[in-house]
Amino acid sequence: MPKQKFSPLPAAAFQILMALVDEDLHGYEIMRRVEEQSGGRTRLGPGTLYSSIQALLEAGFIVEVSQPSAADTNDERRRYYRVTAAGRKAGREEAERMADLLRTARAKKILRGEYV
Amino acid sequence: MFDRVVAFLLRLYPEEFRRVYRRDAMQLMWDRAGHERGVRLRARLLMDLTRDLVVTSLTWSPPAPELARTDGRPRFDILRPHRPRPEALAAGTLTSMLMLVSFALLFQPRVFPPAPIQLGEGSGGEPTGLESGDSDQQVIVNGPGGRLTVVAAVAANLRQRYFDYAIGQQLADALLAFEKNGRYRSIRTGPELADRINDDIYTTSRAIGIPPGEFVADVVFIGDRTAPIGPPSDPNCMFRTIETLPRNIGHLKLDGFMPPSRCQETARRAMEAVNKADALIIDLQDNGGGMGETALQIAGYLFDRPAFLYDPRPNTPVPSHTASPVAGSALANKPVYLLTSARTASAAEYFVYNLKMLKRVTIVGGRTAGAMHAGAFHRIDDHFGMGIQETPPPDNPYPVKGWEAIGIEPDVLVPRAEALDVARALAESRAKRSR
Repeated sequence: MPKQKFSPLPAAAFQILMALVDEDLHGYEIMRRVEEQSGGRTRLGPGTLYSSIQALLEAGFIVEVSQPSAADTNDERRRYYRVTAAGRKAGREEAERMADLLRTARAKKILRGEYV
Repeated sequence: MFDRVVAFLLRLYPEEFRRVYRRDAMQLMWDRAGHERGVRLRARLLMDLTRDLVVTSLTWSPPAPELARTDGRPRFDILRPHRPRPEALAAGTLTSMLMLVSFALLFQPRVFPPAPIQLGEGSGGEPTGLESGDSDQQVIVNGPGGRLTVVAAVAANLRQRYFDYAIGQQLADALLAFEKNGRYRSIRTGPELADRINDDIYTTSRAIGIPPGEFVADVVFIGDRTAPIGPPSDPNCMFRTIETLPRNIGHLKLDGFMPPSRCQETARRAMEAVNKADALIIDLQDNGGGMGETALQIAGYLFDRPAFLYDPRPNTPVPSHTASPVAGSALANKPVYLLTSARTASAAEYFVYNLKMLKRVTIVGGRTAGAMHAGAFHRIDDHFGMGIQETPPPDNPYPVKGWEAIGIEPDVLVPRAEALDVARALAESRAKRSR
């Protein structure tokens, strides 16, 4: 099966990587974290979320990890994910790519207000 | 109600997705539903789910199969077809070509013992080995091992390749029984051995009900592997004589039907040279065969309409009908005499047989060789080969089903030396009667 190309990193995949940078999360937590970090503009549905997770797993950018201690969880069936070093690198490169785009857009003076 | 709608929408996701992530997706939705209460939030949740369903249905690609999950239980995934990448296609093509070349080099199409016949010490104390002074033909069958190897190879070929399995088995068994009984023990040369085996194949095939003249198989002595195989190069395309005899009788002596690629024009000029003759004699007494296309070309001059010529070979490249009438030919209604002998063989017999069946010629001389050579040819070793009828022969409309072994009987049986004179006399006599 061909691996999904990650250049550039899809927005959902990038958001998931960013969500996992701080700690291991399960699916719903990732969704909530993405919603938060995007200011409520991105709510990942189950299809988008898990197809992105699957692609990131295949690319080696995240891994499935064992659950935190049982005391910390209320459902042992949840799957938790952790970003890998490759995932961090891919996230950083994507952020730099977007920064370049921002610089270009800024130079063209097409950005206004808070986004600049 | 809300739960049912959510469950219903989740069931609409692609099957592969549900198989892998159904439980996670359900959990996600219940988590959201637990936190997002109220009509507006629930409506937003359903909208999100519907939009996600559409996007996922359009973009979902299944995960790569794994041999085992993290819990160690085996999984059996079905790979979904994907369009191969160009580099994968190129690598596959290259690998296939390398494999083909390797197989071609490693597995030469030799079914039977690849080494020349071993002439090692025999139980009968006969001469063994390749001794100086022996002719090739002699040493090839010297010693019981040599003969047995040839007979066994012929039998194996018949078992494997003859189109009628049961008959192939019977023929093979018969040959091996003959060999075991010492029938070939006295044979000293390759041609003799081939002739004897051919006699036995034909006799046995007749005994088990194959019609006379129908081809089954034949063994040929090739001689040395280094000897050239194929039609000899001849500047006259094997036309030994092209002349007009007294009383305007055309006379051609043709010792072989050479490939049309290089002899079509020569054949055309030869036929034109005798085009104005009142009768035509074609001497085929030394014609051992050749290409059916050239025989068909010459036959075309002798008819005023396309004539069917039966070719015993399945899937033959030779057309089934002559290209008659040939423009400018005046021979279509002239008497034609064919001179034949025991050396008239193969394609020459195809020519003679068909013209006889069509009652177009008078045959003068001796019975032909009876060498149909209709089968697919296989090398047995460096010295022998054999032809086998691997597929059923084409339908033959004539009562005499062929000429294998029985040859073609002449209308006027005369010694070889007298054949031309007798044919001339017949032509002159007929000319007188017609005046």
